[in-house]
Amino acid sequence: MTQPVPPRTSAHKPYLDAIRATLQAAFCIENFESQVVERHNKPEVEVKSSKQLLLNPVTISRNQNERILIEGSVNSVRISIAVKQADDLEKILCKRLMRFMMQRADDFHILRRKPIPDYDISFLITNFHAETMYKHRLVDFIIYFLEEIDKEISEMKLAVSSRARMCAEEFLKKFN
Amino acid sequence: MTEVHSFGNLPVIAHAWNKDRTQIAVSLGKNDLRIYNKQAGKWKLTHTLCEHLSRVLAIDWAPKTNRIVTASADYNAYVWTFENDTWKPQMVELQRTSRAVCCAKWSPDENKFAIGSSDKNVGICYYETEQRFWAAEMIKKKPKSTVTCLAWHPNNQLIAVGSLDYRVRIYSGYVKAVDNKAETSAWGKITNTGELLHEFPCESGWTHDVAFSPSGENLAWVSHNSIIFAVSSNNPSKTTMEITNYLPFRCIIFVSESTIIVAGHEFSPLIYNYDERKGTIEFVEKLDSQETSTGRQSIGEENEFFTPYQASRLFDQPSMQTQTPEPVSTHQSMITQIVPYQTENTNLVKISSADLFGQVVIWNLSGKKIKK
Repeated sequence: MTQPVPPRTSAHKPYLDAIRATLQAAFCIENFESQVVERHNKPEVEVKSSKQLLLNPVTISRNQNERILIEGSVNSVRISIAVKQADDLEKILCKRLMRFMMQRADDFHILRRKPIPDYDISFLITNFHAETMYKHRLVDFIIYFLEEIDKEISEMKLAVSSRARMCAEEFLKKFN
Repeated sequence: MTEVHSFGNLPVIAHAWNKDRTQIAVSLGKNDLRIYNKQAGKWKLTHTLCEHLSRVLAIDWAPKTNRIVTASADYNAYVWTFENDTWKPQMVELQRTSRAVCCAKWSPDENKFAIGSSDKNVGICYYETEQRFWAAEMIKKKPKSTVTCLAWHPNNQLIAVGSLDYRVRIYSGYVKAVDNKAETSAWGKITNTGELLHEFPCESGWTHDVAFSPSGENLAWVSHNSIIFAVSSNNPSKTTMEITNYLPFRCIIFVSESTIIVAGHEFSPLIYNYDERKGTIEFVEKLDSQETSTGRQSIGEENEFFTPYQASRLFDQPSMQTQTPEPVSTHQSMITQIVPYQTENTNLVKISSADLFGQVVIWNLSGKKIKK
C-alpha cells in the first residue's frame, strides 16, 4: 500500500523516505514451500536455493558509514543496517548494544541472530511474520529503529563520558 | 453492499464455497480444513477435516458432485466426499511428486482436477473406475520452477499454468480415460495429455495467478512486477500488458468477457477493462468504497479473538504508530484469493476475497462499470 508520508523535518528525511518506499515494495512476500527439501519451508533469502527466487539486493546509503541493505526474495526479506560510528567509543557502544539485542533475538521475532558481514544488525522478515503483523507497522518499526538508534548511541556516549568525568573527579580529589 | 465475514485472526490461505453458498471451507494456515455452516446468520463450525500433515495450501469445492479437493505442503492431495454426514478422504495417487502441492482445481465438468506442485510437476487427476482410486497423469514438458496457479478452460480440456520461472503455459488437459474425444479449440489442436500449446513470458516477474475468460477466448495473468497481461486466442502471439504503479497483484478473475478484477498486496481489488481489438488494458475503478461496508459477521463471540488491530495495540509503542496512517480499506492485509460467488448469465455479479487476517469479503459488483 503506497501511503503518503506525513511531513517530518529532519536532515535524513530523503534517506528514510527512500528506505520506506523500498521496504513497502520488498514486503510483498508470500508463502513458498521449499523446492529442494520435502516438507520444508525456508526463507529463500537465507538458503538461496535458486537465483530465480531472489530479487536484486538494494543498498541505500547516506554516507559511507550509514547504509542499509535490503535483500528480497519470494518469501522473505533481509534488512541489514550499518549504524554511524564516528569514533572508537561509538564503535564499542554500538557493538555492545547490538550484541545485547541479538542475544535476545527470539523475543524480537524479526531480529536475526547474527548480522551479515559489514553490517551491524540484520532483520529477517518471513511470510509468517507478514501473516501475523501489519505490513505498514513493520515498515514503521524499521524506520523508527533507524531514527532512534543514532539518538540512543549518542545518549549512551554522553552517559559514559559524564560517568567517566565523575569518576575522574572523585579519584583526583584524593590528591588535593 | 459488502459483506465481511471474520474467521478469527489466522490467515485464510484458501477458501471455497459449496453450491448454494451456505457452507464455506477454509484453510487457516494449519493442517486442517474447516467447514463452516451458516446458521441464522452466524458461521458455525460443522466439520474439521484433518488428514493432512502440513499446511493446506489449496481447496476447491466441486459444486455439482459436492466433492472437495485439498492440496497441502505434505505433498499429498485428498478428495473428500460427503457420505452419512461425514467427509470421507481418499488420497490421490500423485506419482513422483515429493514436494508441496501448491494448487488444485476441479475442471468445469468435475470429472478431473489439475494440481501443481513445488517440484515443478503439473498433474491431471481423474478417477480410475476399475481400480477405484484417483490417478494422476503428469505433464512431461513441465515448468522450470514452482507451479503457483492453474486455470481450466471452460471446454474442460485445456489448462493454463503459471509458475515462478516467469512463464505462463497452456497445456492440453485431455485424458483419454475420462474424456470422450478431443475437442477443437481456438488455442490449438488438443491431442495428448500434457501437450504444450503456448508459452507466454512475464517480463521477469513471478506469475501469481492466471484466469480464462468465461468463453475461454481470453487469458489473463498477473505477475510480481505489477503488470497485468492478457492475450486473446485470435492472436496468441500478441500479448497485451499494462504496467501499473500499484504493489504486485496476487489474484485475477474475469467477471465478464472483457472485465478483469485484480487484487493482492494493494488492499483494494481493482477493476480493469481488456479491449482485445485495441490491445489495451485500462483501469476502470477501485472496488472498495469504504463507507458502504457493513454487516460484519463473526464466528462466535465478538471478543473471542484479538483482532490484529487490538493485538498490535498491546505491544506497539505510540511513538511508532504515528508515522504511517492506518490503511482505509475493507481488507487490512494482502488479499490471498478471489473466487466467484454468484453468476448471472455468464457474468459474475458477486465475488469473494480472503485475506491474511481471517476475513472473507463478499463484494457486490452491481452498480460497478462492468461491460457485458
